Amino acid sequence: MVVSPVASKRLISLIAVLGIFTSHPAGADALESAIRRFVSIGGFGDVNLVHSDRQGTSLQNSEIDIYVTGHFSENWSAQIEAIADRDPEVHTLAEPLLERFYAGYTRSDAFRLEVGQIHTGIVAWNEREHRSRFLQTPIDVPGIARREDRNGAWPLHFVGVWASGRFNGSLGLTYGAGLGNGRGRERGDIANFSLHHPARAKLLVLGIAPEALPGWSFAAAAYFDHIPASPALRERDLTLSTSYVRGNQELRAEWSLLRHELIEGRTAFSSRGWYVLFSQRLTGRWQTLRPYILIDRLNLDQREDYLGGAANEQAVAVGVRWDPLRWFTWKTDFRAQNSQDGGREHLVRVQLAFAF
Amino acid sequence: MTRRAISAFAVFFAVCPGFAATAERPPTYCLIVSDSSPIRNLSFAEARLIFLGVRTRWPGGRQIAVVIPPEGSAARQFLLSKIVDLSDIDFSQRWVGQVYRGAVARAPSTARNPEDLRKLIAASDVAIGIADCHDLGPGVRALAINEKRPGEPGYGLE
Repeated sequence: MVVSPVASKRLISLIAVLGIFTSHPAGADALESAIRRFVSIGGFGDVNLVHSDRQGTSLQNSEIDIYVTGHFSENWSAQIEAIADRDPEVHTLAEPLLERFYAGYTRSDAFRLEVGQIHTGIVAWNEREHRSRFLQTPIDVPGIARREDRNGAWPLHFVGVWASGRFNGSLGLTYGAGLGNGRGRERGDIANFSLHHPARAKLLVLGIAPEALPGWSFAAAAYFDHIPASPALRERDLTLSTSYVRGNQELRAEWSLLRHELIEGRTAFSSRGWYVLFSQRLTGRWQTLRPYILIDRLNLDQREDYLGGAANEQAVAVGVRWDPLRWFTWKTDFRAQNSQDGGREHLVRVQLAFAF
Repeated sequence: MTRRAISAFAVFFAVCPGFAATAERPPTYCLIVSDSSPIRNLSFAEARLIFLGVRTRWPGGRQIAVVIPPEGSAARQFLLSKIVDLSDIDFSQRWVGQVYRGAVARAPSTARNPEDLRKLIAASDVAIGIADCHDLGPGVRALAINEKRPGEPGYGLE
């Protein structure tokens, strides 16, 4: 997913083309024409200052995320998203990574089709928050939603076709179904297209948000893949998630099983992860504050080479999000987690995140 | 002096019945669409999903254009507390997220004042907004909520 200099130029050209083809017609100030045809450019950024009782104080994992969405008509659109993060080794922004790049067709709320590189819905956090640290309440991404290039274990990227929608009705039924290429030879890669395996990865997500339970939603997701690693693996993942977002309260919980099997052999590897996030926005003069707690667990099968570099997680973070402005947030937390040498590490962190 | 003051007030209210009525009547809110919109009724749950950016299309597939009252207005406060049940910050950030996710084409248009809101909605048959039922003006009409008209018992926005 690393973008070469040539690819970077192509990305910029593509963004320019999107802008030309979707630019707002002069004088057309009616809402309808504004909806039908325009381009929007937005992004997020964050800076993280971390003090560890083991590693001292440092700047970590700061990112800039830029997305461009072109709306060609009432039904057709395209989106491209790239992310650049701060390389902890050389203290400069690393080359941008292509996160999402797809064309979308929306016929109704019940049917939307996306073709291209998208985020898989096997982890609901990944599907909802994508890469923005600004939008998510806590500083951290839970372990199961950690990016592959950040030593994450779950398959978060996918190239193919993704159909999704929501049916009107008291059950609030949502669905998503995908077919394409998922895992590559290395964990951070996406598999190349092959005539022998034109669509190795399959993804299915079903969810409900019943009107009888305002604010609640429940979902289950399954992911199947054939990993062209050496040795080749078969992947079968299952995720269950729920959330309650209403008024000032936010509760999110997710559990996931990641299972790999050697195709030639009977060995199977099972890894599990879950998290619970609770936050509550205060009221009155304190309404810009949202205290939160995040409990994060990751138990990986240590025998599996394919997950090499990914580490178990056993973390608790207690913090507060402060929103002095709509486009700027300040998060502070205390986090206890596993350290790289196997002991416990305690962190005090500040994250400044913004949207533009 | 007192008698003169009372007389002056009596004359003022007699000449300006509309002012007197407005002063006595607290605003009641209703969802409005353009006169040219084919939509007549929404359930309260549907209305909430529209203002949350979850339901994004009208029957037939056309995109919904959401228009919201200006920041700090009573109508906006009503929208936040009674319909979407979110703080203003969470509401704004939620729409940033919906645009980012590709779920909606754009965030709601924020009207400068009630008249601006009325004009925006009157000009588009895919727009929806919220306004004081007593002061709708030309070109727009109130939607029924749960098959109840504004003022009827059971109307969802009271």
